[in-house]
Amino acid sequence: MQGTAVNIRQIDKSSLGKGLYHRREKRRLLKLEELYDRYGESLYRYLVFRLGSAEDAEDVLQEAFCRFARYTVRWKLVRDPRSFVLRVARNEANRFLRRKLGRREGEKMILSGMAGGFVETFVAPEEPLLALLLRRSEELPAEQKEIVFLKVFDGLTFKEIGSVCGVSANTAASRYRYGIEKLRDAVGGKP
Amino acid sequence: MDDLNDIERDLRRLVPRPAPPGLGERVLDSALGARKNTALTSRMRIVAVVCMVLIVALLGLDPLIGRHESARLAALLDGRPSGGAQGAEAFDLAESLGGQGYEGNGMAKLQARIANAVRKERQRHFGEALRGLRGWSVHEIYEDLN
Repeated sequence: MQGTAVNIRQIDKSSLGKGLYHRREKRRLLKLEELYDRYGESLYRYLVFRLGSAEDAEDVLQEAFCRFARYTVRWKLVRDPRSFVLRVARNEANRFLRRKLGRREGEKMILSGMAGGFVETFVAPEEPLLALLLRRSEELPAEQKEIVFLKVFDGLTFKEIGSVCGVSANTAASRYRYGIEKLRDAVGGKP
Repeated sequence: MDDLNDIERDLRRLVPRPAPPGLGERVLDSALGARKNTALTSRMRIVAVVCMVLIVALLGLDPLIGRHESARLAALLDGRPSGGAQGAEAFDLAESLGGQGYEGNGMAKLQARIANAVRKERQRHFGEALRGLRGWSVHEIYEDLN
């Protein structure tokens, strides 16, 4: 019994309770720095992929973080912060496109996924196979392209992808499978 | 499945373009600025929530209080509605009926008849009360004030 008490006392509790929140000045605040450390880079990459421009991606990232800063109550209800931040960034990017191009053109651009893509997001590879893969992945339909991006580069599960893109996990999985099959065909048979 | 993994592996070899220098600072500065300029500070939010709860509670309690009040009045009146109110209702009824085609003379008659009925009702209540008090003062001892 004594040993158990000692063991409990010996547990290092310094790491407990350390999440995205901290208590400061009697208020529970979201740690924006930690949020940026965790998701900032991947959000920026995703936004470049969505928008095709580093400047636009930075603007939208700033808007998204302003939104995160204003969400005080909502953060307490979020179960999966990673898909939540991606979803917010996606909505913010869509809003940005509608604002920039007008509602009609913006909607068209969002649906076609023509604003961004793999080429704007990644450095042009020197290896021919990778260059071909990059070109072919650019030719995928927008919805497949986005799901391949989120799965491969952000490592999201299909459920998380579904909640980011607003589709079911099964739809996300089938789109991913179709996309990868197309890339496999393109890379394997048609150089 | 291996092919799928190969494609994934090849895709992962792609190198993302680097983020511009100082991106994190700029983003965090604007976010912290936005937090300072929020329309509702957390204290104001607490005050707003408390006010909302109070309003909802008052709205919810109002019918209960009204019901309790009417029950108390009914108990005071021994289960009978007050004669004055009864008379007023009767007059209102007469007036509303009068507006639907009764002549002025007929309306005056109706009002007089209702007033008579209300007076009789009051007298009846008074008589009942007297009957209830009968014998009450038999054992009373009056002091001689002189």
